[in-house]
Amino acid sequence: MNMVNDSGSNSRKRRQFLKAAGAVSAAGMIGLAGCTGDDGNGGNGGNGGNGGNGGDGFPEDDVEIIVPFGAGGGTDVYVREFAPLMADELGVNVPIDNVEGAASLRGTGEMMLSEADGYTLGAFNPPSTPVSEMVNPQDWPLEDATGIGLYAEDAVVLVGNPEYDIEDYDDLFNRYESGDLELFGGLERGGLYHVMALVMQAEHDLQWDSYVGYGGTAASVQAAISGEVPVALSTDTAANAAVEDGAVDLVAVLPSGGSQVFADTDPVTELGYDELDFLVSLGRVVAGPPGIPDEAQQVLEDALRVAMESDEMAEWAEDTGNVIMFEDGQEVENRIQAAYETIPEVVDLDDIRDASN
Amino acid sequence: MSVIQALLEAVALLFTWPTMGYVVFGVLLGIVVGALPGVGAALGMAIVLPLTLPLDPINAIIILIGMYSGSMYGGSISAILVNVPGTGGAAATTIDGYPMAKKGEAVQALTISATASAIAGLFTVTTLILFSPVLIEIVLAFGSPQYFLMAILGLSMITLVVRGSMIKGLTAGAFGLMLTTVGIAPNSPELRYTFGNLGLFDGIDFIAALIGVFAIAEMIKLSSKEGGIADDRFDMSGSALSGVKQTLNKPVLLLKSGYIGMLIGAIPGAGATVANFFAYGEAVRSSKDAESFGTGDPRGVLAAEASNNGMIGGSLVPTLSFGIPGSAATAVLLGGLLLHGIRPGPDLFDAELATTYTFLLALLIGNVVIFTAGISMVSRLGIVTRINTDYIIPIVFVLAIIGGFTLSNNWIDIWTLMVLGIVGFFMVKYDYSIIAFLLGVILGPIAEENLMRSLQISDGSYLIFITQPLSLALVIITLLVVFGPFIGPKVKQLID
Repeated sequence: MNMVNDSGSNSRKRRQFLKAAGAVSAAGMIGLAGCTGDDGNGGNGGNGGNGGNGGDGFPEDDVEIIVPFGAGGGTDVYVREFAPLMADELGVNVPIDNVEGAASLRGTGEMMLSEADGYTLGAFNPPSTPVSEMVNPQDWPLEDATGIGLYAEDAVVLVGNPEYDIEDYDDLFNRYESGDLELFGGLERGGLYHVMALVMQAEHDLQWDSYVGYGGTAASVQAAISGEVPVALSTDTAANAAVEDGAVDLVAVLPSGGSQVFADTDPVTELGYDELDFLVSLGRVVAGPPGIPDEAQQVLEDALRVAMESDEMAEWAEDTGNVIMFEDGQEVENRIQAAYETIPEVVDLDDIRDASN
Repeated sequence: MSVIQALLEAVALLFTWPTMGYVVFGVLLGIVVGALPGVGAALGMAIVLPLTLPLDPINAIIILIGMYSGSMYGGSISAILVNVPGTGGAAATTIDGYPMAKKGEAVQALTISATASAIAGLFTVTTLILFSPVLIEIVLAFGSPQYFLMAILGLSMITLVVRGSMIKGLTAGAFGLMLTTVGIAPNSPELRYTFGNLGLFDGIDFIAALIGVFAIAEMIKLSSKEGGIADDRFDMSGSALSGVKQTLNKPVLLLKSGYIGMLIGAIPGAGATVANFFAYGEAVRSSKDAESFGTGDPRGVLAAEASNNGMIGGSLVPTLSFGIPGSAATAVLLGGLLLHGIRPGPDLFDAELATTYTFLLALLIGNVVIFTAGISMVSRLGIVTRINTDYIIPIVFVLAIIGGFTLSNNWIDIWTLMVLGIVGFFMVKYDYSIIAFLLGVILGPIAEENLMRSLQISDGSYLIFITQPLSLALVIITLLVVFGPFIGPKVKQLID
């Protein structure tokens, strides 16, 4: 749903206003990212060396990004930062539409069912959204989505209550094996984190007895702080403040590439455990419905690249502690496909669907 | 950082231009969005959030917190004038506020709301500042079993707030609870009554239900009424001054309600609506003439409004210390903190205490703004109750539907508010308690999720609900609420 459709002089006036205000505007739940400076004809947007958006005239209209999460959420915060920079690059507005709910399937579904013309994109998070779709299969092929770019990555970590004094992943392994510990905390059952816990049980032989699910990474970390569970899964960024404060101990960094937030801690793969990157490295990506023409895909990919590599984003990342990066559309497609190929091999999805006990 | 040092630093930060201006701006804007049914704090703050980007972090968060605080008071304006709580936190305000308006006492009700909101806000925020070092411990004392027991205690309030047939009250509560079974089951991927529709995956939105049973139901009822909302037999006799006096004459109720709000706010997941009903329930329980509640008793407005502003300060504790938003509004506030690079964490109550104190002091000043605006401007809105309902009904209908849709751009919310509007109309007509129904809708998911989680932790043992002192205390309070009215007189008889 696109509630903002500017054209002609109204559009220019609004953009000038936005430039004057120096702000990203929002009408209702829609963030309107203004194209500042140029006249919005799309011809002079590409100053980043891409040269892609002049030739065939794409884009000629607003490029909408559907965020399948609520305004003010983690994904929304990122998209609101880079959407105006993409707008500058593309020469059109990049409005944001928050279509939240159903574990990100509502918004992602709306994106997947839209026309594959490059004017509707979605910002979701593999392998989280693919797991939601695998558990509750939909009639749109998410594995065929057109990748635009990966703009951030969160590493999954394990944090422990300090009173348990868990030294590292080996120690945790032994404590579960001896029966000293039983509970294992994470996010809701049936979701990505529950899948991670089951895979760690199967592949790493981590013998936790009962999985306790919480309503978000912050709640999961809090459960570890209060000692309701001895250890809990979280993203590195969500656990950062509590680890720095000493409210929890960092027990393990799970992706083989380590964590940008906890750069000094070796990943569990260094201790000899199998690599589970397809699950524990959480990508934040922009993608579109299957079949976006190559030219349009290239223009969009370049715009996102220029935005993510801009000084503004670097400054924002430094100020806020958010991790930013850029990988191309092909990498996005690889990650989504890897999730679809690997997860059903290592996890019985029927068991997950039946995970209420 | 010492408490005094942090406080001085916060004062120096806050009492500068334009920071003070942002406090006033945020609160006034909050009053406006709070008064619009369905817009409320969360949506209003979400709209403003990206506009705060050019501001420095402290000023940006001060605007958001000001809006949050202002909207709690603003919510009472439409609750009192047209029976439509602008925010969930004003749901209990309608119970006595709207009957007061119908009796021609809208001005008093609005003044009581402003005074109670401001005074409760002042006291609770001051308390939070004094006790900030131990606040985190209170938050940590509440785990899954305690959340479950709080929800059950809330449900037991049904027995306090229901008037007339208890069977009908319990039926209404059970109906509310049953509606919350729609959607993805908490803590499992099981789908319940979604009929393959993604729009139903997240269940029935309680704000949509709230708008339906209050706004739509009341507009259907008003459509058969000639003239304005206020009964023509009554004069608009109330004055702002008498409202202030009435509030100040009930200091115990005022402070008790404010602190109930603060404590419930500090428990993540409960939020303003629960605080509102708890305080109202307690006001009814502790009064000698409980039957006058629901007929336009000023104490009902006072308790409800003191609690929701008291809740604000409390709710900042889990949001700032652990990044756990207890409500939609604090979720947006959390987004604002992250957007501006203020990372929630225990540090905000330790090394970064000055930042937290700046927010709390802004709330303190915000309460003065609420009082001033409430007395000088808002109470004049009592005139709305004299406007012909032919004009009021379409306006409220349109606002309600727009508000419902903007909750999450989901058509299911529109269906919810229309269908529950009609159901609500008949519930009122046949004396099925709307409040009992709402308590079921709001507390059902909290109770279910935490029951499941507690049993996962205890490996299925129900002893988890009585083995800790706090849990045991909550069980005893719940039993007293439910059985007190029966056992109390008998115990007294035995003693005598």
